[in-house]
Amino acid sequence: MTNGAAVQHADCLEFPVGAIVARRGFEDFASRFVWLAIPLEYYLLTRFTGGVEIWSLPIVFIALLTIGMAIGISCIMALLIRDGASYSARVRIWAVTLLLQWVTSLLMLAMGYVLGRGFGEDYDLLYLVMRGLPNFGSYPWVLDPRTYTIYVLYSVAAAIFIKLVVRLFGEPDFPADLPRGPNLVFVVPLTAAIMMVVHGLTRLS
Amino acid sequence: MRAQSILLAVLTSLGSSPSFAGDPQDLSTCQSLAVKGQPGLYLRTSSGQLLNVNGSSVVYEPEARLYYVGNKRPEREAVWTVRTKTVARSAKANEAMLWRPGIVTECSGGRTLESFGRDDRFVSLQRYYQHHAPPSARRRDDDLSRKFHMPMRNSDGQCTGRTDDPQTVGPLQEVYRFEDVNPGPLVVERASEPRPARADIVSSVYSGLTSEIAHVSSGEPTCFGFAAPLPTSATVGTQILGGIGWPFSRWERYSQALQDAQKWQPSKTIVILRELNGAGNGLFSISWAPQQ
Repeated sequence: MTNGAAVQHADCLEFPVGAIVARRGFEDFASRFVWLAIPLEYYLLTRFTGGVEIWSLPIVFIALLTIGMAIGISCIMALLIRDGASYSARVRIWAVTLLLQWVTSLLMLAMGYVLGRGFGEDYDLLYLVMRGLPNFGSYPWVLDPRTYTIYVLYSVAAAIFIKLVVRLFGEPDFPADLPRGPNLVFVVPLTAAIMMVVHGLTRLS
Repeated sequence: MRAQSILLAVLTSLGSSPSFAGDPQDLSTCQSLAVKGQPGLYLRTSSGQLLNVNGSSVVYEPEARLYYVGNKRPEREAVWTVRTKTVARSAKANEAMLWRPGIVTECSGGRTLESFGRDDRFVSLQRYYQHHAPPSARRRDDDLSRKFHMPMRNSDGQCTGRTDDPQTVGPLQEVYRFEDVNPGPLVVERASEPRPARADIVSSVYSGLTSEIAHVSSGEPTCFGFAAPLPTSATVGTQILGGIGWPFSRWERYSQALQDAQKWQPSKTIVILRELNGAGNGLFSISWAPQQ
């Protein structure tokens, strides 16, 4: 694919930003995919008990708040983790990574709810599996290890999904001048934390 | 006196002392009330004194307990709902305090029913109302299903019903919601909606709301205890801390409510009772005298 130019390959635990932007059509799809956040958040936020009503305007506000949080966290992470690229380039890489990971995690969570409904329940599949554990109960909450555990698992599923899609449709080998993605060890927990805080906030009365 | 004699005669004819499920203190109190034999609403003070409170003025004590004594022995186990609405000059309620004892019933399949802890039983009005909404708008809350509601007998006598099944008890919004109370806007709604806070649906005049489910075993006198009202207004901070679960110790929400109750100064509590599988019902009013 590179006509003899130097190439690099995404590591196992690397978010494949380079592989996504290496192919134009794939990059275009990824940037449009982020807009799925609005309908996905609408679907999810109107599932939680004690959450917003179906006619609520704040759902758009909440999606925008999440994007703001992702960009804010990107600025901080770009300061903390330096890998040779400029600060603005690192912020962009982190922002793209967190937004894609967030929307894909929302997609996984929404699929969990769809499957849960298939069993006649109002909760997602992972919760239904885990609710037999001690101290598990209605969620999400703003600061709650149980909510966080469930969201980390959905975020892991999202990371695996993205890696699979990139492997199938993307460009596994990409030019060496394209950016490398952040490590999933940071991306997955951060995404889960953003989701926990934002979703938990929507239940406060 | 006549009612007392009749009840005593009934108890004697049965040849056994009455037994009551649940709290051991409720058991002894209900036994004392059965001897008194007068149906009505009673308050057990922290000193153990039993007062008939319907319409009369009593001094409010946060840890006092209320008792309802009915005038019949149900042939089958009876399930009652008890809701209280309390007026006070403080922040309006945005939560309800729920309770159902962790007991074994005829329909629990021999196992002890799961129940709320003393701290996690404070639930937002949105959660409570959405769980008890009409089917088209209903969002079932797992905690409310497991820890508040319970299985019960259907009209055909089979244990296939539930206290939160509209087919068993009728429209849930009519059975469980607090009349003239609507949940106010959520924090995100207040923060983001262009119009001012929706004053038309703020949670009315009450600053303490409780909802309990009580159980009376078949053949036992109708007598059950329930908590005295507490303030159920939670700040954002309290709600965030209240959601922190295992492995961290839960925020002491109940202790906080007791602390708030010390300076609460309630003026009136309305108690609404309804038998879910029978015709029993009751409406009482308690006037709270200023604390000394």
